[in-house]
Amino acid sequence: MLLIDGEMEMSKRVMVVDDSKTMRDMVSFTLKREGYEVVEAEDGIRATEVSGVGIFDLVITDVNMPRKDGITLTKELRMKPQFRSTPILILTTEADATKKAAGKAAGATGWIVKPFDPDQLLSVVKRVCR
Amino acid sequence: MVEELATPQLEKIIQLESRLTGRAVDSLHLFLLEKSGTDDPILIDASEVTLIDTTAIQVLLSAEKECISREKQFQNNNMSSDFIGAMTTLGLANVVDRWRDGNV
Amino acid sequence: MNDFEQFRQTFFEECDELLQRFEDVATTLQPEGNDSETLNELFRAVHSIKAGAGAFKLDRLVVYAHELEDFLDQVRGDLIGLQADGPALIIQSGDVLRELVENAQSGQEAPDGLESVTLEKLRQLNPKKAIEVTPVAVVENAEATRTSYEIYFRPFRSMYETANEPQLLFEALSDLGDINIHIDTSKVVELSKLDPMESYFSWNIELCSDCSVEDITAVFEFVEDDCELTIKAKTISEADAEEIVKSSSVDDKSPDGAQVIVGKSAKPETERAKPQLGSIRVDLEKVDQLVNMVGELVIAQAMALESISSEIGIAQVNQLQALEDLTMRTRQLQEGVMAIRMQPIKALFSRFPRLVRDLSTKLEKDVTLILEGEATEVDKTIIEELSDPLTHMIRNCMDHGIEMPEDRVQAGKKAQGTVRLSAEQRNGRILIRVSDDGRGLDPDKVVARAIQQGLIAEGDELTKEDIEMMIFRPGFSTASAVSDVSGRGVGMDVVRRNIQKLGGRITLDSKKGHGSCFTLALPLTLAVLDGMLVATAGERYVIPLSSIVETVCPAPSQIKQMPDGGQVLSLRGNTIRLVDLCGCMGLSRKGLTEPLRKLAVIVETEFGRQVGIVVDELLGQQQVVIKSLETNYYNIPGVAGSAILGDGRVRLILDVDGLVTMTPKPSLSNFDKGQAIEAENQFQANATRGQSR
Repeated sequence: MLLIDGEMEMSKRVMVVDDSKTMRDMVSFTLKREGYEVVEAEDGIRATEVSGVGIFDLVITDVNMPRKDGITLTKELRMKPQFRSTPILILTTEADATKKAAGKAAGATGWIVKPFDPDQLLSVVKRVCR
Repeated sequence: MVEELATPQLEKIIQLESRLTGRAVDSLHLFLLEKSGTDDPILIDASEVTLIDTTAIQVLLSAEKECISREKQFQNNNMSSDFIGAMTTLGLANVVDRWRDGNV
Repeated sequence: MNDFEQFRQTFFEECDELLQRFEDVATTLQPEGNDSETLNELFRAVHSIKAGAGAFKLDRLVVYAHELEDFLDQVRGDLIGLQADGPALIIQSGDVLRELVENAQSGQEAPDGLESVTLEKLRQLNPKKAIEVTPVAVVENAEATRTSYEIYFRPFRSMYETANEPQLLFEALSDLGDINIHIDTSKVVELSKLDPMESYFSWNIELCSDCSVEDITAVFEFVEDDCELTIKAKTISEADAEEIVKSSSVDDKSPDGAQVIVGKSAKPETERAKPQLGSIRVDLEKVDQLVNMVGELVIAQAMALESISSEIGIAQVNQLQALEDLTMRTRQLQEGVMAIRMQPIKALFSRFPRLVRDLSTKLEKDVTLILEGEATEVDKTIIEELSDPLTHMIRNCMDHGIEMPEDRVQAGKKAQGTVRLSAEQRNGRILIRVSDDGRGLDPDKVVARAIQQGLIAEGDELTKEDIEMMIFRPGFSTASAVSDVSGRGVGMDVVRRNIQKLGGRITLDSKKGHGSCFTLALPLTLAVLDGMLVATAGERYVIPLSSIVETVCPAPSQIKQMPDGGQVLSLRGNTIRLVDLCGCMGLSRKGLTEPLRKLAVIVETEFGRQVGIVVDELLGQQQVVIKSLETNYYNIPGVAGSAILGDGRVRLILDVDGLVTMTPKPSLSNFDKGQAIEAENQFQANATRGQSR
């Protein structure tokens, strides 16, 4: 979406990557309700395909997925120029320190702990995305 | 990334784009670096800015420093409220004033 | 209520799919050697169920799923081994999980104690009992007084590289209380020296709030490893500052004063659970040492026996019950120790059904895999070393061997192709066969390609064997295009080398249009050998008992001369080539009396060929410990290794196949002949050298 005369307010575009449909539905629902535009992908490979289309303001990805996991996806996205400064959040389970560390090492901005309710999701999103 | 507008005084003003994040920071850096090598002053218009990252602000401060060492003019006298807000959040309110006035 | 309620339906539908997947995968589990993808799938299924269950606050389900997920995480990370009843336990746990899900869906309370049996077992197997140390509470602000904090914050470049923005952090801080931000821009450099992703700013922030230090560190949670952060707290009422300091990731330029690093969560301590009944994990190194020591014991026992025999005579020795006992027990000990390293080859085979299924789909061929002899036990090392070669061969079968269903039908075969993987023990060796009923080798194509590659000349006569062996040449491939499934045909030479390294042999038997069969023959144990001691020209050698078919003392009339100078034996209508061990070993009979009648030890090779090794004497059977020549000397063709005999001397163990290969054959292509002669020369040279030890 191009900026026309600097007036049109672009809604923020988020990529949601998770192999669980339930999870994708819940995250998308929450974000859309807040005015975000959401693009879903069911695993890392699909996410890579989708990443080439348009600009994203935020990526939320699960870690454990078949075909390409969230950590690998994060690493790869970070190498693409258009994702260099894009906040990337990984979905992890509570107190899984190794996954958080791995995520950070791969270039993730932060994490969201599962399970979460809508408010928790939004509060983390607010911390990294503007 | 930026646009140069020719003003009546034939001075070229550097118009910053609305979102200065990520890759934009690199090109901003390179553009200003090139500009600083010319005889032109660096005149910045930040009226369109809605979002600016700290890394971009670092570049601007670096440009100011470069100008000072080359004894060139550095000015940023048209700043959007978002731009000023960002600067203030980071504790750079006094710099806002300084830039508004210019160092001529 | 919970906003997410509308997704319950989707969640339970998904659970159903995940549980089904779980069950399907769980039934393929083995106690050992499971595919990592299998384990990952199981983990992910439970993980997803748990995540969703949490969102819907289905606590009982969450708790159970968490335990199972944790267990599976340990298994896939190789921190727990599944034992014999591991797979069954997982299946059972899956059933419990399903019941919990069903109850959650219908809103009913699941029966009490449903989880307890499986949970108990899971916990028993899971040694990880992390004692998590909670962060030490630094500031006890019991009265919730307002505290004045001084925060020093300096990002590293990694913070910017992970897209964390200070403005957002400061906004979060300002939600905690009143803040005052002071920036230090002194480190900024000119444009020409600037690295845009580098960090040049640092801040000193005053925060006045009734929040705790933890609240502040929570703001910096994502960046704690990417910055220098120190927090000093001063309660406003106190005159003298109570300095409680927290710092993390301290860089070399730390600000004033000594920093007390307040421990965050200390490393979790792990308690090792008591070893589970039925099995114990042992370092492979220890087992190897044990095998070695027992091997030395065998030698020592043999030497003792020899020494006693020479004192009191062998007849008396055989009378001695005690010695007989000793011999027997030593042998038993040896067998027991070797058995430790043996495992059913099932561990190796178990990954192949999946591979075949995946390749079937990918190649759009219909192929079924038949496994035979999975219970056959082999040395653990062999299992490890065979994984790659077998995978390669099966891929080959599927890619180049089995035809497309239409082609098969047209050729009069059934559309479904079969790949057979079998293992059996025979004659002290392990035979593993990989066969398919595909198109088989096309001899004309092979010959054409060999000529093209300059391996043979036009008009050279080749036996069926020669053609089959051709594919083991490096770089040889008749595949017209490289497929990404099996790659180039170059793999077979590597496969063969790997098998040889284990002391084994690989051969191919193929019939055009019918299929191919690779046979791998491997030694049963890698350390001990039953051998027949023979002597020729005053030297002693060991021939592996497993290779020996019979020994004969031929009459001169049974021996015939061949035009190429060799001799053959006529035995019960069969013609068997004779190999003179003396000549082979480069020994000379100078000064020794030639025995009147020679003995021929008929041996059989992996090819099934029979050859008679001509020796002077048979000295009896003996069990010997194999010492590898390769590690101590280097590989000699025709020699399998060396053995230390009871008299303490080192004798060479003959490699029957090697000897036979070196024997000139009646019709041989030029290259083969040249190689054979070359090998023989080399062999004689080395053998002579080796003998003078």
